[in-house]
Amino acid sequence: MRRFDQYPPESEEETQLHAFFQNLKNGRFTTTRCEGCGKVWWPPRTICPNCITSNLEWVELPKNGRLKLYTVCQREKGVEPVVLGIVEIGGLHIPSKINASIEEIEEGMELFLEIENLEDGRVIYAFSKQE
Amino acid sequence: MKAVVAGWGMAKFGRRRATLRDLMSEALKSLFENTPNLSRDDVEGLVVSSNAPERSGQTNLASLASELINLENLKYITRTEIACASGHAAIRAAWFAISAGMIDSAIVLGVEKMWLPYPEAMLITDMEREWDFPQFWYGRAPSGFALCAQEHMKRYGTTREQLAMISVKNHGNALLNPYSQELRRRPKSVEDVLNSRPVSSPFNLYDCSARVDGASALLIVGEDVAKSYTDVPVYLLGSGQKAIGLSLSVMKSYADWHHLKAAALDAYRMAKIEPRDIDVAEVHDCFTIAEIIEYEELGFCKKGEGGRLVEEGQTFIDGDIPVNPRGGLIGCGHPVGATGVAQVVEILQQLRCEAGKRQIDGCEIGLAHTQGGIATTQSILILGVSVK
Repeated sequence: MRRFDQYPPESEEETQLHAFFQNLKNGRFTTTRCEGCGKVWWPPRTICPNCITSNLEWVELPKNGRLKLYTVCQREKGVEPVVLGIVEIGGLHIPSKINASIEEIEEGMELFLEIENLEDGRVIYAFSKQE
Repeated sequence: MKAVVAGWGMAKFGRRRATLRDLMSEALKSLFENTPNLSRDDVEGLVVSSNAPERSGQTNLASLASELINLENLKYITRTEIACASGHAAIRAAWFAISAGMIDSAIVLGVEKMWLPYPEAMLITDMEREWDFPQFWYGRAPSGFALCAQEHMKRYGTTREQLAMISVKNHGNALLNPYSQELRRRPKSVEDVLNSRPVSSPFNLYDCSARVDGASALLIVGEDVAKSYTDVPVYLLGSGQKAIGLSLSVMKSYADWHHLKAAALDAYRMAKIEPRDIDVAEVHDCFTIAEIIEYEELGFCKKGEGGRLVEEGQTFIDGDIPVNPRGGLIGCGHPVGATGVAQVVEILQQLRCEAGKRQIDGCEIGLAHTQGGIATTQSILILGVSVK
């Protein structure tokens, strides 16, 4: 058993969107596209919110995007600040941790997908300046 | 049947040495003390607003609350939850039940226990849990609203100082409110806010509402029985709600909350009033930027001019459109489920001329606004001493 934490369920036993995490492990950043209306959604879905059907396919997103907005967050004294922001990829607004220093962070900058492995085998994405 | 807000009760907000049971008991006792003709037997409805009593390991809070004052004539009992707007959801539920003729009276009770000694409590969230929270758990709501501030400052030229003025105003008002949180120090100037420790840029500590414990209560009754409890019936005149989802991803613009504007139009239309008719407003200042955007979307000023409105002093208690005389979330603290109910306690006191040092002259119409999530859920209530 896993402890309750801040990360999502990722396995096939726990979520119908496990393909996202499997794809991420393979270096692919994906989401769902409705085969009916053609709309690409973030986050990925099990039904199209417009058509209310399950005719969805996995599509690969570019691994780079533009930093639309960001904030430098420092909740405790003496702890390295964390940059959080909205990465715009193909018109989608993707909230993400940004692995960049305060000196180099800039609105509109190009960012690249980064994949981080958690100790228990789960994966999580972030974005950073380096490709 | 028109619904009347006919009584109020408050527990002190703050870091309380008290459990959910203690906090609810305190607000209920206060309601009965302040409403002399109210008897347990009169109460037919009980609606409890709480965002996450699960932090304390407790669900079924409304049943627990009924036990605390031995309510034996209940016909309607429920809990409401839409994050920070839970209090409005409770008031609306009581209002609808009375309007439908199901009950004649209801107690609305808001409560939240935020200060708990175990970190697991922080893993229960009203943010979207599977996609947003894994990324934003460190920054949570302060970082979400910080993005709104970043975009608003860039698009409309809102200044850091204007944000800080919201904090100075609301902390000042809270000093006049006996139920607000106790603070060792309150910012008295823009410099005090700018010199407080950074939290999530552009916010410093005093731009943020604090997580506190608290409870608040209202008695809501049908118009025909209201005179038993009050000489000044305060009517629920109008309401509007909108939601566009929960995730940060659904926001097309972080500085423009079109769905709040739409909810406000619904509320104004229902109450048959316009923004200029509002004598007093309580709005959801979870962070300083929120109050500025709310001025604009509620129609107190033009879009983009919210910063100037506070800078000109117009939203102070002695201004043209006083906002958050109670002290708001920033001044009082923000016990989530209790906040929306406490706002209406303030509007009730203002309309009845019972607000003491916070009293605004000639209040006839008041507005309360709350929101849930990172501004994705919006709720408005309009109250007045006469029906138009």
